Amino acid sequence: MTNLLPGQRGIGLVPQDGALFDHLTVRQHLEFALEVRGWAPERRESRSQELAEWLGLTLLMDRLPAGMSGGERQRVALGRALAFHPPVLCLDEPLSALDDQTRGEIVAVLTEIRNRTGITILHITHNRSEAERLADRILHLRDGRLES
Amino acid sequence: MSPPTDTPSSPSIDESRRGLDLGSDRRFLAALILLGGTYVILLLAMVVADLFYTTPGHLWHALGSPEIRYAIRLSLLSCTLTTLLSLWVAVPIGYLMARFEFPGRAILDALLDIPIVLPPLVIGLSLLILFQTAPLRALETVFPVTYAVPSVILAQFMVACAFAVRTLRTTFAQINPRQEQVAMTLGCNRAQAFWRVVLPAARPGILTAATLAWARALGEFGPILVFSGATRMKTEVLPTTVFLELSVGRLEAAVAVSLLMMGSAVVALLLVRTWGGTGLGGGTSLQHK
Repeated sequence: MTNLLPGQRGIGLVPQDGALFDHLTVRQHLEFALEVRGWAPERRESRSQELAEWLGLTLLMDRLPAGMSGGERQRVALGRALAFHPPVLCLDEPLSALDDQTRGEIVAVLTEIRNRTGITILHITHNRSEAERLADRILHLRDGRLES
Repeated sequence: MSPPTDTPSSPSIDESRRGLDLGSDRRFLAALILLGGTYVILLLAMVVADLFYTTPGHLWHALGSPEIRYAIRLSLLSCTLTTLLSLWVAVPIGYLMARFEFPGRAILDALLDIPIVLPPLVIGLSLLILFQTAPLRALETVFPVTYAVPSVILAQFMVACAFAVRTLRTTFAQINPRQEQVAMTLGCNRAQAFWRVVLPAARPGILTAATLAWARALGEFGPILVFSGATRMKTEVLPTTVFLELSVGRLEAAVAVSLLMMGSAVVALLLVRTWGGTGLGGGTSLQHK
């Protein structure tokens, strides 16, 4: 895995701050990985619509990231990472920068993703209660060693 | 909660303020405005003095002169070409310097600043000497550079490009590398991540670099004088015109051409401001030499 290029690893990444592309609309974010893969426009459109409905982004499709709330940004980042059907989703502290209400909203979205897709989610967090609430299995990283 | 009482244990507001000099903020601001204002007034006074020295007739006469019209055309052409060449080189250098660690990076960093710190005259002299070497003299037999139009562009490019590099380096450094990393997890290779994510994000900085390179090239004089000469209707750009008109005592024409250049510089700077401060790094001064 280490020697593979990031694109070959099949991991959808959602960084802590979302790292959205400032010049792209929500629709272009959702279709980004599909365009890189050369999907036909109709297929891309249908996948982005599906994700938008699922993540509650239908009204934001033509918006740029500037001015979006923390929860909206995270949902766009999740949609962007899920679009190409990766077998693994890696979330780097996706809840840490959110207020309580938005956190609840994203937790619900994450639970739905898990239930709908059965995808393996590697959820990195410093918050024990968050881990206990969401995880099937908890691994501790301590002094550079992984403990279960 | 009981209202505050004026007892020895809780001193009055007046007492708590004793010894403070809260009115000094206004004096501090006044001092800042006074000190900074001197410079601004001097700048404005210079422009106003130029404006009063010349008349629309002088400007019209200057614009009617074939030599000055040639200089305007050559200035516009050479500055535009210089800008395109500068971006062509500064985008890759700026990106490499902002993103990659490699041996000799510090030396390269210092090298890239040479055109900024050296007197422009020295750049011209160094170019002249470079073109005296055997390989470049051989080149000049088929493609004349020294004392010809290409030398004007090369002299402008050597200086303007350094400013574009500095601006773009700051621009790329300010773009979160995580965006590229995410693009790569989404299936992009590094080149695709650059074209699809980094370059569009750098657009305001690229426009700023282009405007600065253009304005810097317009004001370039020292290296052009040494490397290209000051031949009328051949290697004469607008700063050369000012120099030539001044040297024969035609002060009105020199001032008229100076005003033309000032106008162009103001337009260029306003464009930079319009495009925002993104990517404005340390190398953004536009000193005319």
